[in-house]
Parts: sequence; C-alpha cells; structure tokens
Amino acid sequence: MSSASKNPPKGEGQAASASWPRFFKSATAISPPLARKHPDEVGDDLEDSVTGNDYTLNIPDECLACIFHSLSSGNRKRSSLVCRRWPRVEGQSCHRLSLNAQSELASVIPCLFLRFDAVTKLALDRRSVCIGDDALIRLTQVQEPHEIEAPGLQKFSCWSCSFGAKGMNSLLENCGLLEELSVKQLQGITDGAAADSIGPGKAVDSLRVICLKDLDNGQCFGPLIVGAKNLRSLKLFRCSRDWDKMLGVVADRTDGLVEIHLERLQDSDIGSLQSQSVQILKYCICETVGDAEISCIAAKCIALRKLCIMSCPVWDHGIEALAGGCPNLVKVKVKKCRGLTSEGAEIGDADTPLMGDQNRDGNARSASFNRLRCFSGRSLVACTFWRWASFECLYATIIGMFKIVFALFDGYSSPVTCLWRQYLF
Amino acid sequence: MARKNRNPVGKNVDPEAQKKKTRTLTLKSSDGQEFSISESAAVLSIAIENMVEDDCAGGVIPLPLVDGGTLARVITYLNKHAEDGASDEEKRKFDEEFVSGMEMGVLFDVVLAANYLDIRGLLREVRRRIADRMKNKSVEWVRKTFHIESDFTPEEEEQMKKEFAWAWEGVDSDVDD
Repeated sequence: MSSASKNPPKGEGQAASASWPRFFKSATAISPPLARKHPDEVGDDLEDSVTGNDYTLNIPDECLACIFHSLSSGNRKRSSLVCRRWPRVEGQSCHRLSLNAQSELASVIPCLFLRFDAVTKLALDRRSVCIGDDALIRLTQVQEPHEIEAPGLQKFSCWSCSFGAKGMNSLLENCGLLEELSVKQLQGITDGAAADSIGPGKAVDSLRVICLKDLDNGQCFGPLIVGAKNLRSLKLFRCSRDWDKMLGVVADRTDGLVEIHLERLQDSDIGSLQSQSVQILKYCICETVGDAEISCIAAKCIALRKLCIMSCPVWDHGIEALAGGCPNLVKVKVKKCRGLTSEGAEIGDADTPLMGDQNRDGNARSASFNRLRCFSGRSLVACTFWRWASFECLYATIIGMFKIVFALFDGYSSPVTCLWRQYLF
Repeated sequence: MARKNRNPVGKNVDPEAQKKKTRTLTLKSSDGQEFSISESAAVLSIAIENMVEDDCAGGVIPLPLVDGGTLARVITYLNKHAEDGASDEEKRKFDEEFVSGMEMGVLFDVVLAANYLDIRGLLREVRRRIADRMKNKSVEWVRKTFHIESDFTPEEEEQMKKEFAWAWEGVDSDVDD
C-alpha cells in the first residue's frame, strides 16, 4: 500500500508534523518576508557564507515541487526545514498520503490537512495500536479552530485499521468528493451488525469505486453500495457471509455499474448476478460459478465486453454458451478451470471473435500452441475487422491479442516471438 | 517493439521534416546575443514550436528570460536531441554528461530556461540532477548551496533543531564533494 504512495511522510517525521503549522502557516501573517538577522547574531559559519541571489527565487512553485518529487521521503522532509516556502510548496504538491495509522498519529490529526492541504488520496494502514473511530472522525470533520475546509479527499483506503461504522460514516458524510473507497480487514465493526449500517452520506454522488476485502461483516456496507448513485466498479474479495440479497439489488440497477469483480465469495449464490449494464465481469475462485451461471450471463449480460473466469467449475458447455451470447464481448480470459478442454476454447474462437486465454495447469503449453495454430488458420484479427468497425473494439482486440501472444510465447524461442510480432504489426 | 517497427517507414518520406531541418531560426537571449538553430531542433521546445506554428517567429525570436550562456547550453542540448544518427543510448549518455558538470547556479538557470521554453526532457534531467545533489545533505548545506537565506527567526530555528532533531542526524558532511 505504501509503495503506491508518492509522498509518504512516514516514520519519525510523522509525529513532528504536528508542529508544522506553527512554523510556516503562521509565518506569513506574523513576520514580514524576512526577519533579517543582525550580523552579530549570526553564529554559524555556514550561514555566513550565504551570499548572492537565492537560486530558487525565480523558480516557479510547480517546478520546485517537481524537484521535491525526485527526492526520497526522508530527504524531502529534511528539505522542508530550509525556509518557509519549501514546506508550503511541498505540502501543496503532495496529493497522496500513505500513513501508518498507529496511535501516535492521533496527535497530529488536527494539523494533517493543514500541512498537506492538497491531499486527495489518503491511505491508512496499521502496524501496532491503531487509531480508532474518534480519530477518523476528527480527521474527516471540519476543523473549526484551524478553519480547514473539509478535506478534499478523492481516494481513501485503509488496511487493517480498527475503524467501525461510525468512523466510516463520518468519512462518507464529510468527504463529498470521495470517488474511491477501499477497505481491507476492518476491525471495528461489531458483530451485532444491524445497528452498524454504513450509508453513502455526502459521497452519494461522487463515489465511483468500492473495493472491500477480507471483511467478516461487509454487509453493513450494503446501504452504501446500493445507495451510491454513480457507482461504476464494485470489487468484493474474500468477504464471508451471504451477499445474495445485496448483489440481487445491485444487479437490478440499470445505471452505470460497469465493472464487477468477485473473488472467493463462498457462501453466496453469485451466479445469479446478471446485469444488463455490466461491461466487465471477473470471477475468481467462486465455487458457485459453473456452466449454468455462465450460460445465464451469456444470455442476459448484453453489454458485457470483458469476462474473466479463474478457478471456477466451468466446463466446455459454459464457454460454448458464451460463444453464442454476449454480442459485445471482446475479451475472455479463462484460467485454471480444470473442467475445460482445449476444444471448448476453440469453439469459442471459431464462432465469435472473442479472445481466449485458456491456460490450464499441466499441459498449458501444448494447449496454447494448438490455439495459436487455430488463430493463424482463421485469421482471427481479420475476422474482428469484419465484425466490428468500431475502432475502440478493434484496438481492445489487438491489444488483447498482443498480450496473449506474449503470454503464450513466454518460454518459447525468440525467433517465433518475433515472427508473431511482425505478423501483428 | 511495435513502435520501432513502424518508425523506419515514415522516416524518409516526410517532406515537412526535411524542410524543418534546413530552415533555421534565430533565437535572441536577454543580453542580446543571437543564436541560429535548425527549426527541427528548436521545435523540441514546445514554447518555440507554438511560436513557430502561430507564425510569430518571423525573423528573430526574442527570449527575454534566458541569458546568453544558458541559451547556448540549451541549444547544445536541443541540437544533440535533434541529431539524426543519435541513438537513445547515446542521447542518454549525453544527458548525463551534460548535467553532471554544471554548477548549482547553472542548474537552476537551466531549469528556469527549460521550464520557460517547455523542454520536458531537459527539465526532467536537470531536476533529477538537483535532487541528486540534495540527497542526504543537511539543511545548512542546502541553504548554502542554493544561496537561500533562512527566513525562520533564530528562536524558531532553535526550536526546530530540538523538535526535528532527526533532520540533523545522519547527514553527509557539509563540505562539498
């Protein structure tokens, strides 16, 4: 999580940032541009040698910020002590924060968005004792004494934090610009789930992506998922208990939900999920997704463009059904579905211009090779040209094709790979 | 890979590209020095390209924010990158040597010019070089080298040293390498 962050002020500097505002925010108001030191006061030799024009004087803020971006976080923090302008520029250019949500963080929360006032993406993860709901509420609420605007967060993610419904609700209630919410292993949701329902709050219009991972009581996010009006992408990974009802409601939506990823939802009959607007569907390790469900998808998901099935009990029959349905399908990825033979995949190719990636355990290579011959014989690309005039589809198909060729030839001799690259472009 | 295959096809057919190579522009620095440069090299600067496209580049292009010395450096860079035979590897090596010999003041002059002229590659290279120089250096070193006078009061300075003691620990010596 932290690796995704560009500006993670982690570690020791974190606690220190509490006092930042004193040093630079107040400065503009209190002291005139420069409180010049009297020559007698200069004790330091180094400071003595500061002469001539400030090199950075004419450098625009955004240019200076780019220099900071090339520094590691430790160096950047140290640089913030050079003069008043630098922490301001650095803070304004910092859009992503990734923090350890340990309990010490609570003390700096009131000042966090004062020091980093341009943060749109906040990621919290936990090392030891985590900050709780109170802290999250304080973090997200408007901070009167400092006159900070409600944070303009667009992305929020937390991992293994001890927040509960209260904190989450505060986040959603106060961050009206939130577009992406990612929650993994939330510890603070009590078992008596009924009272802990999490609603969309002010983020009702802005929320686009919801990703829930490893939650025991994920159902309390139900009102949020159903309520978010402009939800485009829903990802549920390894969330236990029954999701049927909620997914049923989601499936009934005819609005913009275009992408659904489901992984290891063992207890739910998620095969029943059919939505006319869904364009991307991904099933991973879902025991309840079999031929019947795939047939159902083939018949009902008319907008479906990409389908990925991994480690599901799908047999040839399901893929055949797919070949006959889903008129907009451009890419199909089937991996580790032991029931499937290479014939099943080839039938799919022959009848529709879809891209297959049949990669079974064991004899994956030989299966791949057969499929390639099948590609070359039928000239799949040409077939796609013929079927779709739309450039976008064509592009997606060619890229898909390209990827598959690379994947298949992984391990084969390079002359063959070159041949295929030339053939494609 | 795909791009590489495509390039040779378009290389020798574009008459516009040929014209750009032979046409020269004159750039005038803030201190009145004039430099001629081929149009194909000059338009690597987005700002100059825009001027040429808008046809406000009749005769001499004045660059009031760039002094002669800096402009000469920038032109060296542009010429190298517009050179026909130069491979990516060669250019990369050139970039490295180009910035490695520069004094800090010169680096900032070039940053300013590259920013003004919108030459992304050069800007990136110089920024990286500046950041490299700053690596693991003390606050005092940065102030001295960048000629920045601290605008914190002595009291604040004292307090910072106490509160952010980590910033004064484990840094390189202030003596220039």
